[in-house]
Amino acid sequence: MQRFIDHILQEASERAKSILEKAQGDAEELIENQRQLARQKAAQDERYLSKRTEDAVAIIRGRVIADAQRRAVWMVLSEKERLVTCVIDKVKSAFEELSKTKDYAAVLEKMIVNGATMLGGGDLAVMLDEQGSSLPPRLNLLAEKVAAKTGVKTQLKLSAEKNTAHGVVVKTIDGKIVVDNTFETILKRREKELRLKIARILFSD
Amino acid sequence: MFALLEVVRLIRDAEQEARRLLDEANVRTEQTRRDAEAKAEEAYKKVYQDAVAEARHKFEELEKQAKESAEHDAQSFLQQAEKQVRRIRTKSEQKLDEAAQVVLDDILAGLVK
Repeated sequence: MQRFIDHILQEASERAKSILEKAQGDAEELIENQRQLARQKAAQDERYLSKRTEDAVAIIRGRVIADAQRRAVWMVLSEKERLVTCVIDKVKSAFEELSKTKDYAAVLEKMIVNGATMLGGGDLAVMLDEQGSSLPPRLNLLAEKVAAKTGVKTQLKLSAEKNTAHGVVVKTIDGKIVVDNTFETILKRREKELRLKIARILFSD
Repeated sequence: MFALLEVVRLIRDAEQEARRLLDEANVRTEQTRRDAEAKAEEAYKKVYQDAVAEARHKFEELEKQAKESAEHDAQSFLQQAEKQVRRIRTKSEQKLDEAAQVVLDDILAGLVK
């Protein structure tokens, strides 16, 4: 009898133990499954982060390198610009020196003929600078040259007004049309072309 | 008769004890399941957060390194540009007077045209 009762209790005990063991196994499996899911989700997010980092790295690199390239180009160009401007300044100084010599008269005469020819000859007034006024040009001779070039009878009169800049200004008597042949203006007129010429001399190999 | 009743009582007690053992096992099973669900949720969070934090740290380092590398390359560009500027200056400074003379001659020659 006692064996029968022991059997009932032992069987119940074994079943209870089995139930608990299964519950424990299920619990461990559930936790491990969740860990696995978390790892999968993290791996998925890591791929997204990896792509985002890759893009960010490309953008950062592109921006830093492009900025450096721009600055490098700017450094070279601004140095070239400085050197070209230095030549222009030297040209101005050279002309300033020329204006103090007796050769200046010939230069002024060329400026007058050039300006008067551009105006097409006729009755014209000539404005000189301070130095030019002390080297009065041969206006009659110059008028003949202009007439020969334009085919128009030309008369050149010295204006009482003086230029502050070196060179000459030639204008029609009524003052309506003016050719500014001061050195500064000639330089400005031809600046683009001259800067190119200077750059070729300075920077070509 | 009395002995038979005693046997039945003993069997009933044993069966009640067996039922109690199984009920207790079921209660503990339910508790284990609830504990496991809570632990699984925590485990999920911890594993996910640790992995993502590690990945973030790794990518932040990569980004930092990439930035440093780009800045290094940028410095190299600028150093090359400085060298080029020095070369241009050295070469051109010898030609400044020549260029100025050519331009002046050009301007004066242009007046005769």
